[in-house]
Amino acid sequence: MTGQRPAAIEPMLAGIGLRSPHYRDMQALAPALGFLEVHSENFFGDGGQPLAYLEWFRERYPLSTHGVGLSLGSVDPLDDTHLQKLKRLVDRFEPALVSEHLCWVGVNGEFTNDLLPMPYTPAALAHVVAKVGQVQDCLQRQILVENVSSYLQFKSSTIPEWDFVASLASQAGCQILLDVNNIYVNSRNHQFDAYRYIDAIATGSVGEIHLAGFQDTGEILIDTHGDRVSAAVWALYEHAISRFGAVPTLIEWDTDIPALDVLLGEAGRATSILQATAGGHAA
Amino acid sequence: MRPDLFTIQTQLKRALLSRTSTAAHTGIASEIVEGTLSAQRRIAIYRHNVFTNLCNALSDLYPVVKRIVGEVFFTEAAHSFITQIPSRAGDLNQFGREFGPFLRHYPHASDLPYLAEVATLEWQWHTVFHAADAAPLDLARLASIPADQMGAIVFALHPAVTLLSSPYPLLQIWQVNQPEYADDWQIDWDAPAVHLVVYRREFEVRIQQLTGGEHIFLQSAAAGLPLEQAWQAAIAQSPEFNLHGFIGDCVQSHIINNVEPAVLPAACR
Repeated sequence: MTGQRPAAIEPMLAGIGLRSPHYRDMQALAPALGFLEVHSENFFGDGGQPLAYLEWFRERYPLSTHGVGLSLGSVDPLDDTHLQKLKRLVDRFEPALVSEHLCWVGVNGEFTNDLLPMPYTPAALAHVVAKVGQVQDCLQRQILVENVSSYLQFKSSTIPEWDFVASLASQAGCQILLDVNNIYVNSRNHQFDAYRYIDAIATGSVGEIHLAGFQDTGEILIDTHGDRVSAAVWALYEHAISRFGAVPTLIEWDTDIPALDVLLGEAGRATSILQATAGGHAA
Repeated sequence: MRPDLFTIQTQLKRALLSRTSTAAHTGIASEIVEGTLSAQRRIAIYRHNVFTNLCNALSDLYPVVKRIVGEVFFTEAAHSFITQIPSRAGDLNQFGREFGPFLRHYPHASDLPYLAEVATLEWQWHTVFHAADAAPLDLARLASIPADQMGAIVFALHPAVTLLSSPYPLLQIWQVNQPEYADDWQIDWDAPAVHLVVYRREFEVRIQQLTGGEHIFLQSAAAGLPLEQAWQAAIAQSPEFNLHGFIGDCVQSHIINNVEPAVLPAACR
């Protein structure tokens, strides 16, 4: 069926993160969604069931591959094995969107496998710009880089996070995957104005938006991807759509994964906002 | 003068992959903005996330080990493993390969000598699940080989096949620790050593017990030995070894999925 794959994302329809507990329900329901997003590394294997499922879904939906392990911000050189597996996946499945995170995951060859924040300095910016360039050269395509949630800031930071993200996009020639929940989480954890963050990002530079739920522990907000999108994040999302237009929007839910219809309900709400706010004008 | 990116990352990584904060971590703590929470508390939040995530990855890989030892023991062992043998790749699916060898030398598991072997079996399950796809054996190809050359052919195993031997009744241990297992929890600890093949059928990973002869036959094929030699090795181990029946079973289950004439020694091919 190769060649009949849907390529372009319909931006007025939100998508969902595809996780294995939903494979069978998704096959049975085949709901109308703008696209599906998977974690790239979950399909780095040589064969077997995960790739067979992905083939099935790819024949029916536009795809986004979202990496969590490339460690773009690390001072270590890019892991060529990892990059080649990503290239193999991208070449095979021709995703509409390929994204990674503005973070580091490990250093000196040892990994935390967590998305750790950067110090926001000119040196760090130059470093990540160069890394994104290497990835785009290898994949022969533009990638998107996502702003991460964080629970600490470094004293050495001299650039506001929003300016760092905006500069990365303009200097590296990549797009931004704007995680609106992460902006909200960070605005609460680090006391800044989330709306100001959004207004600092150039229109036209945002290629995708993420929405998810967080957990308020009382002392800090943790980006768990384990709950419904909060009211404050929906409001911030409306503001983002009124600024950026109809950007492909994704609901992420990775822990305490609910029944599929809960996830589809959240995607439906994002779709309603896209259609009401962007009024049919794609970004 | 603030430290450079290398120093910040090296120090924070070291703090996050330690079980608790120590005096050695004050350097990175002094680089973190405090605000409403102390720097050590912020590091502790990340450390908790790191350990939880890596521990969950091990739980997913090693459900039988976890069922045998229980949640508390498993978490403690996992945390020791994470600090002693840190993750070496950004791809979390690469993490945990050495958990079996780690358990073999883990002092608290010395009463459970079979635990490390269960872990090895579970890692093999993981590798077989993700191994490459391959077409089944073309029977016409096998039929086209002249009878007088049959002894020289080499059978190849499907990429999603691994072999394992253990002095413990691993298959029984595996079976009684599956979530759907409802019978009595009885294991014959005096059972002889087991030989297992882990393979895939319709994307489902299966584990099957082999006789000693069957095991040597597949091991010989995997090592590139010609049929005649593999057969002799199998008979020497198990005089009752049924060559035609076993090959038929292995072709049917796709354990054997290719055949080639052996014109060169294995090392040269």
